[in-house]
Amino acid sequence: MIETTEYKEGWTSNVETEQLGRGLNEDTVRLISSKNNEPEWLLEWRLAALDALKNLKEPNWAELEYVRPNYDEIYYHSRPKKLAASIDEVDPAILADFEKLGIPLHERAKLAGVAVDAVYDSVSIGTTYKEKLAEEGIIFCSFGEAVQEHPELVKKYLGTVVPQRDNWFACINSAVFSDGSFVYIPPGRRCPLELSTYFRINSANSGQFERTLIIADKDSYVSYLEGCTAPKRDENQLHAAVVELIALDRAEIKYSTVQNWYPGDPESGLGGIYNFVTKRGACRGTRSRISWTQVETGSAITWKYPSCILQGPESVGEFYSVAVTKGRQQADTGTKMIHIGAGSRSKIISKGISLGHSSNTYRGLVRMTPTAKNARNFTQCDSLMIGNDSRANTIPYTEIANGTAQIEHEATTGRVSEEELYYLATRGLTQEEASSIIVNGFCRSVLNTLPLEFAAEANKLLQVQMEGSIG
Amino acid sequence: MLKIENLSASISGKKIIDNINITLNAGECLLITGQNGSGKSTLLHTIMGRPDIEAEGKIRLNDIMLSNLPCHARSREGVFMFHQTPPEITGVNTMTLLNEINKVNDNKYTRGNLISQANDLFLHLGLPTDWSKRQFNVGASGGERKKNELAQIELFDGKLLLLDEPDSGLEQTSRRYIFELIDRTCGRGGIVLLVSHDKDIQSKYSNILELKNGSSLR
Amino acid sequence: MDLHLGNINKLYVDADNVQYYIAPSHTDEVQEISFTFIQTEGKCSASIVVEPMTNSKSKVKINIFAENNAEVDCVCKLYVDVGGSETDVQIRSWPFDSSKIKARPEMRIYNSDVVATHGNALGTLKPQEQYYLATKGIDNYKELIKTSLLHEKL
Repeated sequence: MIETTEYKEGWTSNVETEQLGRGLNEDTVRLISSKNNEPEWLLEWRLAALDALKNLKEPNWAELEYVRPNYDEIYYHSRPKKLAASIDEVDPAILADFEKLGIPLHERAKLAGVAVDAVYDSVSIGTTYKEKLAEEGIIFCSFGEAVQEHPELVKKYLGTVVPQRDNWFACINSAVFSDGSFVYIPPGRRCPLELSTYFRINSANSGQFERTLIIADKDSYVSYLEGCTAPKRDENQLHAAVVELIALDRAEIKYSTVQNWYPGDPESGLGGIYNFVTKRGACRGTRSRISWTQVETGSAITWKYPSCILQGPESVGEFYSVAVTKGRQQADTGTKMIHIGAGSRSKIISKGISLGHSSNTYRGLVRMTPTAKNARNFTQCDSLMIGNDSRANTIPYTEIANGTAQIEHEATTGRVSEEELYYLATRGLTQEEASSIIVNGFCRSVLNTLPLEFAAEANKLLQVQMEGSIG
Repeated sequence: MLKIENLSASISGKKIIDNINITLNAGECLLITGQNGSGKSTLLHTIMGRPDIEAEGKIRLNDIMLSNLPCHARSREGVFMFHQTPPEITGVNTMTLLNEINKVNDNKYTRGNLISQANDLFLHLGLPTDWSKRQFNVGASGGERKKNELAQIELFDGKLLLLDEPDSGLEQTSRRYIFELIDRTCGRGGIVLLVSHDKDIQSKYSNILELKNGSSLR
Repeated sequence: MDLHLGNINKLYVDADNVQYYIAPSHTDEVQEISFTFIQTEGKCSASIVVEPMTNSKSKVKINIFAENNAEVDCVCKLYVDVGGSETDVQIRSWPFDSSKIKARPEMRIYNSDVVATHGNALGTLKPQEQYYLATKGIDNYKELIKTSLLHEKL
């Protein structure tokens, strides 16, 4: 089926898209697999997930109220009709959209030090600097390409951190995942560029099911940026990605996300993106390290818990998050730190800001298993409530099963201090200016962990979110 | 010129200030005294326009009717408040805050000038060398917080200074600095309202407003 | 066994698979409510719900001591729907031997005109604490904590 789509607001894009695979069934899965020229083992893997889905139930334990997506109505695959062999041949309309979104897909990217793998509605358009990274032995390509060119790596690691039947959304993703990113850093290499991917949900009724796999071999380092934008749509769009990170001995992966999906109409809550993502990092090696940093300000519903399994001795897991909700947004987000290795450490800093009629929930789990001798966790969760109708929930689960581990957790909830607002007013700042400074101060410890490019975007995003919400 | 007419103020329905009248010309300083609880601080906060204070009466500074303006607008008209207990503001860097105040003051300094002047001032006041990099007043003693206030007055002159016990809790050198600052302010035509308990001060200033239960005694 | 408590000052309670509901109301002083769980064997689960009323100021302290193969599961839910309150919940857990402790301090705040804080610390004594006690000749921390918790209760 070929449709030309036109948008109500923002910009118009006449890119021809091919929407196929309606409904969650074996035909759809086979169609996706054949369109991607996948080997037999991967098709089998997908079908196993589809099978497992029969025994799972869609979760409803979160503090969220939403209209369940109709899984049979969704188109599970959507790609632009013209595929290009290199970036120079990419459909100009698509490149123009990326221009508007400010994505550096040209030589400018080199100056910015960013190599970009741009995903546009399920198919990677072009990967810049693939060749340059290849000189270092670093693989950074679309998931589809990795399946073709590095099948042994994909087969070895896919599903080892998030197995097909891990949870409902991961299961769907495993069956019908579209493209995504694949990164492999060989031993001893420090990736010289910040790796980055942009997503954009374009077509009506098309869910996004990316699969990302990042492997940092011994003694390597990589910093990966994920940034999302989406145009205004009327139907809720489902985003159920899966991200698996694997860090071997003394390797480090830094994964940063600045999320900017359409949040839905501020009054009615209609039309926003549903963001149900499974992100998990396995610190397999000794002294391996994985950090998650996220700034979440969009999407109608956010349900994500970037987690770390701290298997390796002295491994380190970190989670830094700023989640802003306003209008009718609902966020239920947090992290899980599972300590298995002796001497493992984790640090969680979560800042939630709720405005309007929104609801902001932190849900965390810190588990010290019997083998996690001398392991340590520190958690700081703070909520700032602005206005009278918002809600802030903090739901931390802590479990300790050995006598030498330590968990320390602190949480505060309150509003912007009148005293601070007054002090800044006496220095001539309006209430909005003062609140802006205070909110920035509130989020400082998280924003400081973002790579520079993202820090600027995150700051701007926060400012835009706060505009018109105070007073 | 500062003209305050029939100023009364209540907090949560309770009257704290009753029918105060003050007229001051440029270059004059008024010392406000009275026992604890007599309403001295509240008087200053009423002039500053603290949101929770219900005020009646008029406050005029030169051509501007301050009593019609909200707090931050009064500040932008040149009213400077020296807080008795300035708060900690976590996450907000001291220098960043000074930058914001600089913007409000029509970018009096270039960024570079602001940094060097501020650092010189902090050094002069005996604050730690990394003071400008610290988060605003976080972990700071009462005396250090007052020095932050001092630095701000020094950097951004005001037309009307409201000084709420600036000297209490400070060592001699800093106290002398404050009074020297007051003299300089009056010298350039500014107006100062000073709340102080210090007995020696009372001999220095002849213009005194003594408060008891929110009303003027003399 | 359900226990509904209204206006309270200082209260020490023994726990054993029970639920507690506390609604601190407005008084002049800060109200302190303490719970102490001492579990030497077997399983124990406790659920404590705190729903502060307007203008109340309260501090809830929960001490959990477990030894041998004991298992303790404690949920403390703080619900705040009305404004003006200040509430602090502190949970301190000491897991000795092969015991397991689950602590879940939850906060559900539906009114911005409040102050709500909680702290949750699990683990044995810190190295500096252990060293200090050693210099005073004490090396049996388990008994020390158990005794002082019992003593506090009485």
